[in-house]
Order: sequence, then structure tokens, then C-alpha cells
Amino acid sequence: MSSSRSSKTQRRDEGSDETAAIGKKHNKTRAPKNRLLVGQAKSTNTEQLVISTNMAAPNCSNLPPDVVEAILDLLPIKSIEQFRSVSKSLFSLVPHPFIQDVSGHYGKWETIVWNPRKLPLGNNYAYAFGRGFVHDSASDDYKVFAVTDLIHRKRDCELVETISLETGFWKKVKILTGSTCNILNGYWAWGSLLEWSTSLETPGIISGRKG
Amino acid sequence: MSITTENNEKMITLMSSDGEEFVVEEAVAAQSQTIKHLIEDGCSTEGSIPLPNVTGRVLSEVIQYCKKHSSSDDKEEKELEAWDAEFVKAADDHVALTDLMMAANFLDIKGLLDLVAQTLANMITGKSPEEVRRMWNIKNDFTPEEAEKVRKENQWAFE
Repeated sequence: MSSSRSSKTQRRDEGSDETAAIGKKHNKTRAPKNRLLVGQAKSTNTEQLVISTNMAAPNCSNLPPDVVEAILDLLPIKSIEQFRSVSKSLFSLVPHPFIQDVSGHYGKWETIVWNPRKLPLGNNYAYAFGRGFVHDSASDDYKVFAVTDLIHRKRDCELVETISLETGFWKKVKILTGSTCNILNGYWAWGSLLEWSTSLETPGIISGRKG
Repeated sequence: MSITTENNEKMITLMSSDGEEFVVEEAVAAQSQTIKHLIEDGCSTEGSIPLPNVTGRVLSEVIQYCKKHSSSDDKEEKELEAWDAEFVKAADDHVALTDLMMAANFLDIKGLLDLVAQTLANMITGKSPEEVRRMWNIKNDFTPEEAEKVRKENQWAFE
């Protein structure tokens, strides 16, 4: 029964058209926080989730991780986040809702599989002509971005919306010059690597670098 | 203990953790992948199959589910769904459902596991962490600093 986790994950990946395999350059010196979280979730997979005993307690002093996972699979994203806040053991057991699995390495590239179906959509997400997934080194956070020119209608002034995988908030970032957009244009395809040279919170200074 | 009925259906005896015995058709018992494998490995030939993780009360519910699902075919899907809904409703509360889910997990009965998981997920949806703690009597072991950090990270989920 211990294999149910991986097979479940795999099955869901296969069933999702939108699920994307994202390449990210392997960086040994600095492990992003989200990846650590997923790692912790795996290490507790075989352990029992210890729940305090109390005379009035329900008859379930140990919930096997398989059982918790089966429930989690069916919860909406907000409830998953709340579930993680219940206790330390649940926090380490419950993977981050945006990132399903770290799938391993392909040569120098580390591949992260995540499930965009669970993302709350930004205001203009549906109209975006470019979408991608990045690791923002400034805040050591993964971010999904959507590029739209819906508001300004001009190619030299595009709007980027990003969602932080740590906070779950979409933020608007304006890109002010055509040149930065061109750089961005080169790298927003699925599976490509974008390293932000500076924090996404600082508008107008975004550049891409392929690993 | 291998007994056969008039219509030649092989019977299996299941023994609960509290010593209750249930004699069921092999096809019913084999709804559980765990039991199916035990039968295939020849563990059922010498007496009953002991199930040390499942009480008699829970086992009787599980058997009820397995009987229904081994006797129904695909044509009766609608009826089966209605039956499932009634079945989890009868389990009454999250404590009984949790027991049932642990048994379904141990016995590896996918349909039952999915059914109970969905019911519990519906119960949890919209509940605050404090309410979830009360449901399963989970101790909040975050330090105030950790709790604050987690709250900040997950703030969006609480709005």
C-alpha cells in the first residue's frame, strides 16, 4: 500500500493536459524552500501521523498518511492550506498544494511537475498570451506568470501577473520597455528556465537567462 | 476453513480484531485486494483469515459494502450510487467514517476508500484549522512563532 502515493500522483499527471513538466537548472548550493517542503512530505510518508490521545477523542489515534492523502486529493486548495496549519506533522505531511512532485533529474535539469488546475486564476489569466513558471531567486520562491497586453494594448507596455507559490497571491508587474519584453518573450515557453535578475516586486527590471 | 455452498460458491471466514467471525463468499471477500492476495497465497486454507486492524462493528459494515458491490453490475450504476450515499449517511459521523476509512485502507478496497474519503473531504471543506483539530483531537504543536509564520504564508486561504 505504500506505493499508492506514487501511482496516484502519476495517474493524475497523465490525466491532466495542462500539467507541465518544468525544467529547472539543478542548484546544489541553494535549495528552494518549496522543494524542501516536498522533500519533507516524502520523508514522513512511511511514518504514522501521531495525534494526541484524549479520553474524549475520536477512536483514531493514528491516521496513516495514505488515509490523509486520499482525503487531501479531494479537498479544494483553500482547505488544503488550512489543513497544513493544523499541526506540525500535518504541515510536513501535506505537500504544497501547487506543487505535486519533484520528479527527478534529467541531466543537469531538475524537473518539477506541478498541477496548474489548482491555481487560483488571476484577473486576466484567461486572456494571457504567455504563461510560464519561474523560480524567483530574489525571494527564493516559485512563481507562475501570465503576460497580457489586455489593458494597454501596446506591445511595449505589457502587464505581467505573477502568483507566488508561497503566498498564493497574484501580483501585477508592469514591464515598461520593449527590450525587456523581448527578453521575456524568448523564455516564457513551458519547460524553459527563467531566472529573475531581481525581485518580481520591482517593476520594469526583469531579465531572462537560460541555464 | 473452506466451505462450499449449494451453488458451489467457496466461502471464506474473516475474523475481526475482537474475535467476531464472518463467513462470506469468496467473491465478496475478494473485493478487498488485501484479502484477495491472502487467498491467492493460500493463507485461507487453514482456518479463518484474521484481520487484527478491524473491529467486528467496522468489519460488518465493510462486508455490507462488499456484498452490495460484488452483486451489482455496471447497469445498476445509478442505483449503486444511491446505495453508496445511504451507506455513508448511515455511518453517521466523522469518527465512524474515519474507522471505516482506516479499514478500507488496510483492506485495500478502492471504491470504499474513495467513497469515504469524499465524504470526509466534504466535511472538512470550509473548516478552520481549529475545527479540524477538534474533529480528530489533533494537538496544535506549533510554537507561537511558527504559528505566525505559517499563518502569514497561508494567509490567503483564511480570507
